[in-house]
Amino acid sequence: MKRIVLLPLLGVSFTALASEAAPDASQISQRLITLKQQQSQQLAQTSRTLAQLTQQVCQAPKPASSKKLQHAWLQTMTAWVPFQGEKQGPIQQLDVAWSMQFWPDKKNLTGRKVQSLQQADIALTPEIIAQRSVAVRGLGALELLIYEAPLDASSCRLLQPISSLVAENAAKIQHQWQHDYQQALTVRAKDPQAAPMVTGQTVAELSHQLSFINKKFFMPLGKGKYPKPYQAESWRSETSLLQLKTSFSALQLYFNTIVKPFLLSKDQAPLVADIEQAFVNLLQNWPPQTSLKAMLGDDKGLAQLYRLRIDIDQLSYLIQDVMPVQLKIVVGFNATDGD
Amino acid sequence: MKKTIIAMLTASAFTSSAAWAVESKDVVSNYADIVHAVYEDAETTAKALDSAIDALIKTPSAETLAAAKKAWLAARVPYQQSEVFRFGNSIVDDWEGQLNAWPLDEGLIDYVDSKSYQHELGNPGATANIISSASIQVGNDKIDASKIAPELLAELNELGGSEANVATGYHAIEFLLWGQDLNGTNAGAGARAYTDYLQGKGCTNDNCDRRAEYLKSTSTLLLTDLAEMKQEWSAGQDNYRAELTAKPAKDGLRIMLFGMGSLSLGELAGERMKVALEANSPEDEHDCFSDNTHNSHFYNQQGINNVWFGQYTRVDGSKVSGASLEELVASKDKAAAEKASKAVSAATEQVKTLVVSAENGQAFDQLIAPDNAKGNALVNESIVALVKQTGEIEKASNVLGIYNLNPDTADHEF
Repeated sequence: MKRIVLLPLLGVSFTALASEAAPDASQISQRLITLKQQQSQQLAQTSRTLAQLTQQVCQAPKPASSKKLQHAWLQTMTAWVPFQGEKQGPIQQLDVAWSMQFWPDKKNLTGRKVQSLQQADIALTPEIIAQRSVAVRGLGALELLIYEAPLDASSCRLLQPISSLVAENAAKIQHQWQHDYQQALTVRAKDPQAAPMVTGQTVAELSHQLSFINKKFFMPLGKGKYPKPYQAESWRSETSLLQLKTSFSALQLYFNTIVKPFLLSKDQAPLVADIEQAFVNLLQNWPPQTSLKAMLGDDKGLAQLYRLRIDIDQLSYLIQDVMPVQLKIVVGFNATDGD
Repeated sequence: MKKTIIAMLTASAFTSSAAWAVESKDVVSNYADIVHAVYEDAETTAKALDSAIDALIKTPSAETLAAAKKAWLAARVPYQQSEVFRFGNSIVDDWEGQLNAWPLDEGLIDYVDSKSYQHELGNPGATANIISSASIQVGNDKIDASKIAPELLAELNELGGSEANVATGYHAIEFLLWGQDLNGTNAGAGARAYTDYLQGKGCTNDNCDRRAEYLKSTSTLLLTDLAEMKQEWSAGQDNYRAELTAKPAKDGLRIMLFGMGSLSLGELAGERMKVALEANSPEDEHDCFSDNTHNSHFYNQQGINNVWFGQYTRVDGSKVSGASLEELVASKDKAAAEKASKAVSAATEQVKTLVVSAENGQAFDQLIAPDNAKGNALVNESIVALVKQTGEIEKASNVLGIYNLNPDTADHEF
């Protein structure tokens, strides 16, 4: 498989950690809560803006408004990226990952399901959209309607309920980080029995999210001389390389804010230095282009991507092979273990 | 009297883990016996399928087509139980694509209904239609397809770098027997007519000669491939089995557990159920031409069941059994073993409900329809049971001291 998120399963087990004192579980979870509260606030705000703008421009739809919508969509997509690939937290509890974004989409389910909805003679509300295929519920469907379709009454009929649903789901995620999930996590982090698991899960999230990000890079790269540009995320808006950079930047932030202090408390300064350097190398070498699709189409672009791959492999080795062993965190199953 | 005592002793041997120490190497050895038996059964049933295909080609009729379909369904029973061996055994994983790759862009092989045909975006081979084409152009490459043969079809797999270009294996045969399922989430499977194989007058959809050659070639290749994998697991030979059983037993246990967990979560619960369900996409169901997905899922789960309990019921009804993971885990932590056994049995029972549903008239592609809340819930319950099973497999791995479950990166563990 290699598809995204499932239910909240233990991606890791914590026998080794459980035997050690974990005085910093509360601190770690507090840092996580602060980071996620900021990020979920940003997501809620950008998606609300997108929904409001959609309602506004759809009152008198005209092609000139497309640019504004594209900007608002990009802001929302960028705010969503730090949540991609999470195995813990409100995204999982609410089961909204695929509703926010259905990807990968090898067979263009987004295109086909949007088309069939456009042809269906039914009233469309956010509630009805929420009952339809995940392929029409989220940011991928919005991207298609905003970038590919002309802005008219027909596209507005879908744009309005879908953007409202995205805003509703984003508001739910934010609410959870502000209230219920935040409180439950705080309690668990103080419980001596649960604390090691909280710590382990929070640290392991770095690896899980990296798996998802790597997929965004490696799937379109394809095999040998055959790249697969349509398997890239956000190929319609030609912003896939931009989103990928945002992903690694968000991962760097997660590492610096949450995982690094924990590693240092475990006497892992050399590993911290290696990971920090790997992030710097990767982001410093990042090409200025925004579209993976365009780069995959010519030899020069491909060469740049292969160069990038070396840095991504190095970072992955440190986070996914070295770090779990140094911390004695058990690498378990995750939803990308299939084919 | 003497007989009774022996019977009692035997019974206690199977119930008391304390009385008989279970050795890890015996668990791995029994696993290898099961793998061999499963592939032997897959080969036996594929031979029956090949004979039925010969009969269909020789005398195309509704009856010979129905007999070939029946043989295909029977061949799926052991093969689906073998999928638990894929993850972890790289020799199997590298080999299986030629036999069971999925999902496929069937327009590579034969005619399709252009209105409803859905294929991978950007796949240059998605409409190549090998059966109707003496030569195939993909990008700058031109392939001579004038003579259809097993070697040519094997070469056409992953044409143009796309995994959706599946020219061979069970699903190619399935498509050639059933045809496209044009019913969406409504009742009914593919409805290819036997006349697609009539030679000369009466041939429908053209190229019946090449279609028959194609079907026979891919069936021949399937037999060759299955024989090869059976050989790799035969005892007492210089083969993969010998390599595996010579390694530290812990490596074998890791492969067994990784196979179970990966099939359970990422593949079966995720790729094969959740994607189809949440996207309401019948194209993402596993046996989409024949509507045999319920059995396909059930026998996948049965394969996980076999590895955990160390038992396999062969197609002739005989049993292969021996030292099991269940007993090994129980010898170290009885409660963990019981929990895992309960979760594996529960998942098997739950996935069985999909079979019962299909037998009562609602196949998997109907269960995932957007307006079928009950059907959706039934599939979701299977997903939940599989997720729970995976969690218990992880815990059982801990009991055995196997911390890194991925054999590909296990070298880094110290």
